[in-house]
Amino acid sequence: MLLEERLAQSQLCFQRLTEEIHQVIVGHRQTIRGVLICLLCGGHVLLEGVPGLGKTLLVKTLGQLLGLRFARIQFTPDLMPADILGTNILMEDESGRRYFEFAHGPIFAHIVLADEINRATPKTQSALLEAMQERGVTVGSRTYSLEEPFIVLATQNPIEMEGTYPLPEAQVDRFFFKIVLSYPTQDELDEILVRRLNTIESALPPRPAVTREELLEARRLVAQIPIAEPLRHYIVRLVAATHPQAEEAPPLVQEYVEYGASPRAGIALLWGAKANAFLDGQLNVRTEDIRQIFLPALRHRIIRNFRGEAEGIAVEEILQQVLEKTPEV
Amino acid sequence: MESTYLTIEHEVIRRRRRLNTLQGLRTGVMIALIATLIYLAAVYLGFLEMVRPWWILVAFNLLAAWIGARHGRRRSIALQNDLYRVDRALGLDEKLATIYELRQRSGDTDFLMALYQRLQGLVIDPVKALPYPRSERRAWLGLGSLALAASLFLGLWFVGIPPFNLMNWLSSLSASGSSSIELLRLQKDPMNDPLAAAEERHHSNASEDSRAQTGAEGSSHRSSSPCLEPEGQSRVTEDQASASQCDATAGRGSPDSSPTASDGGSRSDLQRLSQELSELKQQLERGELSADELQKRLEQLAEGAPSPEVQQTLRQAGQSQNREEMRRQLEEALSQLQRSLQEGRAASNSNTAQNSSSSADSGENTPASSSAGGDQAAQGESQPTASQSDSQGEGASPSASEQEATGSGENSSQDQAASSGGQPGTEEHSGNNSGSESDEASSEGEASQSAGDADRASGDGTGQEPGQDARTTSQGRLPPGDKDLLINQGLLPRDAKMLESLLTKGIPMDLVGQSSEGTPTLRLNLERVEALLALRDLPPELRNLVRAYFLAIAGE
Repeated sequence: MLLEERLAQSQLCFQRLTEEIHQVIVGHRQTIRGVLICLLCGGHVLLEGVPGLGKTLLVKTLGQLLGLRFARIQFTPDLMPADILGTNILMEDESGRRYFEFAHGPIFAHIVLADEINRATPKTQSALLEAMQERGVTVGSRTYSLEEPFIVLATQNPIEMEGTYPLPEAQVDRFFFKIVLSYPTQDELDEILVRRLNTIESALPPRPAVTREELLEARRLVAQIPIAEPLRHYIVRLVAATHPQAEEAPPLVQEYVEYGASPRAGIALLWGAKANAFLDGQLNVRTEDIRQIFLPALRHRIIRNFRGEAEGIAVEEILQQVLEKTPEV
Repeated sequence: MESTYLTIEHEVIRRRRRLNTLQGLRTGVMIALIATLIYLAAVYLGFLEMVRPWWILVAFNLLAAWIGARHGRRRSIALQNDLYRVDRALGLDEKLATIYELRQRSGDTDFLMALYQRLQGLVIDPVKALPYPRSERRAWLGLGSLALAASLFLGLWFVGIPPFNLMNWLSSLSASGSSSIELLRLQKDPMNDPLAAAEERHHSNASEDSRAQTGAEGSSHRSSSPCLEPEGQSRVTEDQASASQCDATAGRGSPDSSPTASDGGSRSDLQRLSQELSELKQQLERGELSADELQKRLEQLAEGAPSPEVQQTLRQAGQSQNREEMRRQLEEALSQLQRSLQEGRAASNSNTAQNSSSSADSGENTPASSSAGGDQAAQGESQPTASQSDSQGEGASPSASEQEATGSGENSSQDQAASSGGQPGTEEHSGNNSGSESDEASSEGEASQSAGDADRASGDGTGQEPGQDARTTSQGRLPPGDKDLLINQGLLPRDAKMLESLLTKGIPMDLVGQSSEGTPTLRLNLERVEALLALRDLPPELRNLVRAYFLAIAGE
């Protein structure tokens, strides 16, 4: 099959997937697009929003529509790593011989919802984050690989600080995107209410819209999408501009940023732009693709200094100036 | 499919080369123009000499422009960046840049073919695709402004207008224009009395009666005045004496005399005093005043007398025992006043005539000479000092030769005539009364030449008048009077046409004697200089230049 046909077919699948998601989720278009980009890039997503915005519903819907195994982990302070990864269980066979059998934890799903990840202890958080990074679980002397596609959608509640364990910056950096959910508009809220007139629960889609094989094919196509050298250099300039000691750093970065983005940010920009171009039916990465995914890709990778935090300068404001001041060529 | 991209690529390359060529041209022109302006500034300030011929500068700028353009055209091109710029300008979603990338990689042929397909039939506008940068446009605008300013500067410079002193030049132009008009008017005036004209201008209360009376009485004195001897006399000797006397009576030479600026006032005082004396004399004759009243009036008039002689005469009249004696003394005082007035007018006229006549360049001969009814010799723009000197055998001094060299040339014949007729001693009075001396015009013309000319020519050894401290004595060469020489020596600004005419047409020198070697002894009359400056209404800076010039030539 010609490339264009393959691309067209794959893009059509994801268009259908998007439409199906919107059948369940009202609004959150940018959130959904971000999640799909992460899905196509194999990256993990950190969703931040107040309770009741539909984060869990989104993930459950996505799992249903993709025909993938879905697991939800509710993080609590007493959650142990074994509760996430699994543990060895002592088993006895018919002959009475005892052996240990590894019982897989919820991490072994394709789509994992780590709800309120900041409520678990750092030890538990690290167990999850290790699995996210390594795409495998090591228990005892054995390593268990996680089946592709594997995506973790972690959520955080920004208003609850009591009894929480904020993720360390090094751990937050492992997430591909950080997507901030906003309140629905009045029209969207009205739409939600209309849909819940007759049932308090949302009706999940009956069948998958995209198979696992189609998703893997889409990932292969995304990987092949070319990017021109000037755009690659543009990504480099953007990442460099987030460092306060850089010459091209804008004033807000120089004034309020302690540490800039890591090379992971550049990788996220590169792959995210490819996935965004794919979802728009393009054959190549464009400048607009980079600009559209710039905020979700970098907002969790910038560390403000004390003055920035004290004055309440938003990271988005800093990144917006980076985007405006950095020349395209 | 590939051809579309190749066509577009070719157009982009060609457009970029054109832009680079223009940028290189701009850079070359800018560098050459700045270098040229620096060079011209150095020439203007006198550090360097102007290159010959002048078109070498133009050729240099053209060569620099050609080199810059050539260098720009050969500069390497970052094609992918230009293709990206074209993508952004035309909204091509970075297809061109991506195709270029894929072509360089020699891989991903599927995507390459697909992108070629999407470019099929696309035609781009190179100008719209790669517009001329705004920074370059601003640079050209700045370059054009700089070239325009430089052209204006050079234009003013080449036509002789000082670019950095334009306003002063314009002021001096207007001043010289009005002075020229004034000069023409005075020279055409039959009375040819610039001093009187200045007096009219500065003293609005000069009455017709006083002038008429002055004129009537003056004419009676004029004929007998040693200042205006008819032709045939040895003008040098007598005129020197009378010049001294006239100067004294006019109060110019006297140390007490007020500076030039007050001469007009003193002459009005003289006229007023003369009028009062005339009235007093008439009242005396008619017996309208008692002796005491007469004495008191005479004492009052004596206190306001401009000169000691008049004062003494008036006091004697006041002490007279009889009316007849008193009347005689009054007449004597009137005569003295008239002589003073005549001397002042003659000196002013002579200076005026000298100024108007002696210009080296000249041609400025005096309309006065023509208007004087044949006073051409008088006005005799009398350069012919040399001829005078020669004819008089005074040893044409080198200065005379210089005078000749400076040349007005017009007066040579007149000078000869003058010299044969003997020069009027009162050169300083010469320009003055030409109207009445038409026959003596030539000689008077000689007379009217600068006192310096007459002095030089005649070599008369008139002694200095006592008390003439204001005068400066110098001996030796006459001033050059050459306009170009003065200008090149920096003594004159380029545009002081009036100043040049003032300097070259009248040298306020008095011949006070002759050395043993036969060279004339000259005496610089600074008061005459001041009179001329006041008359011409020269700006202060030019007045200082004139003063400095005369002081310099006088050896001060």
